[in-house]
Amino acid sequence: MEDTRSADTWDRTHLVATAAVAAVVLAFTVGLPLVDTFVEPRTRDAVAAGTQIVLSTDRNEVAAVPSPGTTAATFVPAAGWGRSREHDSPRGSVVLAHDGISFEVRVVETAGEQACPAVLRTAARSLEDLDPTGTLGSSRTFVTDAGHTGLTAPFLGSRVEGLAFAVCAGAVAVTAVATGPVGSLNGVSAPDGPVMSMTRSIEIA
Amino acid sequence: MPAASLLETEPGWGQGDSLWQPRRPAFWLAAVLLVLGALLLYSRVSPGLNVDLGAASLTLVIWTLYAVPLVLLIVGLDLIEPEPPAFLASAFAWGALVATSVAMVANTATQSLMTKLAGPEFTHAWWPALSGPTTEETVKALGIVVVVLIARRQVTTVLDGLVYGLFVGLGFQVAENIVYTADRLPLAAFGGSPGRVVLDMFILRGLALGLWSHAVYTGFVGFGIAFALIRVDRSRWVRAAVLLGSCTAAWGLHFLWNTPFLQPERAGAPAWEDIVLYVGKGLPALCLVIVVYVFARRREVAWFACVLHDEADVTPAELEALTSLRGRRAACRAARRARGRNGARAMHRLQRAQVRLALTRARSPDRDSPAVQSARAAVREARRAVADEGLGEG
Repeated sequence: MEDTRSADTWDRTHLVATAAVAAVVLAFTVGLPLVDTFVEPRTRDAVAAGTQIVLSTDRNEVAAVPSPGTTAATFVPAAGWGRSREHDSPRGSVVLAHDGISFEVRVVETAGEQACPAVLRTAARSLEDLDPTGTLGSSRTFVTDAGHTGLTAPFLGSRVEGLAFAVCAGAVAVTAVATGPVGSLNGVSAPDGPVMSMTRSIEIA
Repeated sequence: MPAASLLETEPGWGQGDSLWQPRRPAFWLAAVLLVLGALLLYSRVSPGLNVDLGAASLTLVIWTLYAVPLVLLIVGLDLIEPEPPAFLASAFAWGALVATSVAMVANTATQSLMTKLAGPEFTHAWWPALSGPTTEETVKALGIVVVVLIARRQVTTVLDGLVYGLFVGLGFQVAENIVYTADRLPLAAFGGSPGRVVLDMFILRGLALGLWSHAVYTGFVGFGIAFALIRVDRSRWVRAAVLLGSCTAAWGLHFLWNTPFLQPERAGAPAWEDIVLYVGKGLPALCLVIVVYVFARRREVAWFACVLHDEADVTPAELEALTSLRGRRAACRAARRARGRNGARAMHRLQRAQVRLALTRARSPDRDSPAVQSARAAVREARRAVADEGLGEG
């Protein structure tokens, strides 16, 4: 396989194969993301930015008004998040989805704010069900835009990662659980990311 | 010792090309992708690593140290014609920089696509099993293809393909672990120390989950690619079937590892149960790669013996010792016991000269060519040094 070509010419022997390698890399890095942008999310009721979702122990409708005498909470979905079609949300909860991450918000009645750690622990069970190899990290407090105090804790598993939240006010608590495959929450769980902004928007009536 | 049935094709030892191939488009493609991959990877891990300088340093040190014994192990597999370090480093870099960054982009897109088309629950359960093997095994395989396109004559045996595959996979494994660790460092703010996060990740991903995962999968692919390229004595169909089979094995074993069916079922399961499960899932891959290695090595050993069997400068006992790492080390240890460090060094030099003689003879059509004569002279000189150390015939 003696090569007698001059040093300043291209060796075209494997040009097609090299182009094929480049094509695969382009397909993965440009083609797939491009296809993704053109595919419509299979979510029900894509929620317009700024829409307020009302959750209550009585009903669960977008922008609906709960019946008098029922506990209720509201939150504002981030832009681009939509209600998951596969989830026919049970009363008092809603599941939003975006880019492989689901965000479930639920309103529950509790024995008081002192029960908030237990509420958080209960919310995190859904993460453990998804990936029993994971562990729930230590919790820390945060304050919502409405001034409610909440607790949050990270969940780290070998396949699934998540963040669990519990916001408590009086005898009402709202839990939120963000779940995604490992590595998916890296950007969205940042302090100014959509998960945190949705959580901070929780308001208990 | 030479087994005729194993010697249909000549390994072409010692005919390697240089890595510097500026006239070949594949060289520049690899160079550009390595730079872009490094930038992308840096942008991904820097937010995590910037959280804590000490934890960032620990992350890099711990995963580098993790790679060292595995690199030595893989290099030790390729005893007869070791691949040039520059090529091995390139294969590792492809896995670490290109494959990891391309897979990150592709996996993010497939995750989003799958969620849109099948919903988050299906995605949580099946995305790792479907997307991971598909994107990651493909882009890792490209690393072996690029080595071939840059320097076809560097991949001269099926064992070479296996070794390059193992290196690409190991690079991917190490970089992926750094990415996952960096992802978790910001979560240390929720409690615990960043150092603890790093150590937990090392135990989880380095020891419990990932000792031989990516390296082994890509090793199969490397074996298949090399077989398809080199075993021209076999029909095109057989070579295609081996290539397809090895790629399918890599995909299937990766799928098996990520499948939701084989995950711990209960919360709070004892750690030993989890480890048994993971070892059980990983064992088929490990066993299969050992089988592939034994097959690939048999051919190299047979060729080695065939090339050297009529060389007066290599005794049968030396030939036997040269064909295994254990045999070489035993000879060096015996020399050290008899004559100390200088004796061991002289024995090691003799072994290297004899291996070089084998490579020169494999490359030369004339068994008495000037190159072969020169290699023989080097063996004789090394043997004299052994004798000077009082080690008899060596």
